[in-house]
Amino acid sequence: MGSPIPPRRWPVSLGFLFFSYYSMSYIIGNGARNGYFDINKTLDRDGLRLLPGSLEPSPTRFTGIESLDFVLVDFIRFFWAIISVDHPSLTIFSLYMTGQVLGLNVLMAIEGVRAGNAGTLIA
Amino acid sequence: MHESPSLWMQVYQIITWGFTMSHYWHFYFFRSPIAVESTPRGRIPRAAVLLPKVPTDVLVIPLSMTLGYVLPTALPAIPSFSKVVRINFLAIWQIFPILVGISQFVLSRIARLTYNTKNLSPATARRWLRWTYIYGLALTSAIHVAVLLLIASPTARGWVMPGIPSDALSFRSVFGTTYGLGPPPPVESFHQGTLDLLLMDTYWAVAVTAFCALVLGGLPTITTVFWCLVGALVAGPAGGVLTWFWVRDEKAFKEDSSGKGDKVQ
Repeated sequence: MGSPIPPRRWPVSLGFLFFSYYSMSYIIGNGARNGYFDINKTLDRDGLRLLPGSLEPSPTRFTGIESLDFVLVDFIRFFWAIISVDHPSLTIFSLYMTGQVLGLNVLMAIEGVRAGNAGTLIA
Repeated sequence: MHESPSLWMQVYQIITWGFTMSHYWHFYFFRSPIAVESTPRGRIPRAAVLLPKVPTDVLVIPLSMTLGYVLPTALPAIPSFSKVVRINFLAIWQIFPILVGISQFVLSRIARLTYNTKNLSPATARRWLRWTYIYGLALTSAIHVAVLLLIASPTARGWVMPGIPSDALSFRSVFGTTYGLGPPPPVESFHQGTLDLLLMDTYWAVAVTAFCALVLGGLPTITTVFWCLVGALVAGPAGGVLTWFWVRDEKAFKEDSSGKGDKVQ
């Protein structure tokens, strides 16, 4: 595994903790504060789980495991909003994001095969 | 098997990218021997630790990423499929990291059988590593440039996305968030809320990666800054960060070739 942690690295650790806290606050926390998750709840009506935009019922059975399927429908709703092109800015930004995700995915994959990272949770 | 990158990707697929990447790089900073060699003075690590342990493993990354990520991402977006088919593709897409991991595992085993990995030189490993960086930057830049073109040119937009009003897109509407430093204003629609979430997800993920690059690299040289800016202009912020790691690797390989670094095993 890794070498002993050298001293004086804790300020950097605080930096990473800053990113951890504020990323969650801005990504999920703001979604709770601005009513986004409440809007999501309004898409569950009369026992139906509706898709955003068209308000058509979503398929709800994928794996046969009820709790997993419930979560999957939430994810599908989220991504359906992107591919339905109801909101062009959302669709275009999501396209942009797929490229950015690919760039960092390639970086993570490279880090995973490096000799120096062998045996760690990076590889 | 190199399953950990897939594990990290699957985690961010569930609990957001920006948050997970902050923990990935935090873990990397403390537990990766490469990070330990790099810090605290921004020292360039030895070439031997940067090269792949098994050279063929890096050779198959572009194909495994194409099969596990690019293809499953493209399928739900194809409008000619029925709604149910596209939704099923979306359900499958939720496990794209596992698909990447399976592809990497299968392809790396095939590659190990095809090549005699013990006879491969460090030069070959470096060449394959370069091609993997080029693959990542090429696709990232293609999407980056295409998106900028779609926003800037109503003509291009009309051709690719017919039926979209000419004033429906602007750089502000695509890349600007409604969030500020204070409490966020109430969201207008599900779609706007989704966009705000994805914007934050992307910006935080790339920002923490850039932060890690800065603390690993110390004070950057003018050459590094120049190439990262080129990477960011051509391929976006993730491209700039990916370029930083590539430039760092090339410096290590150059030092190794000139005899300053340790010999590659």
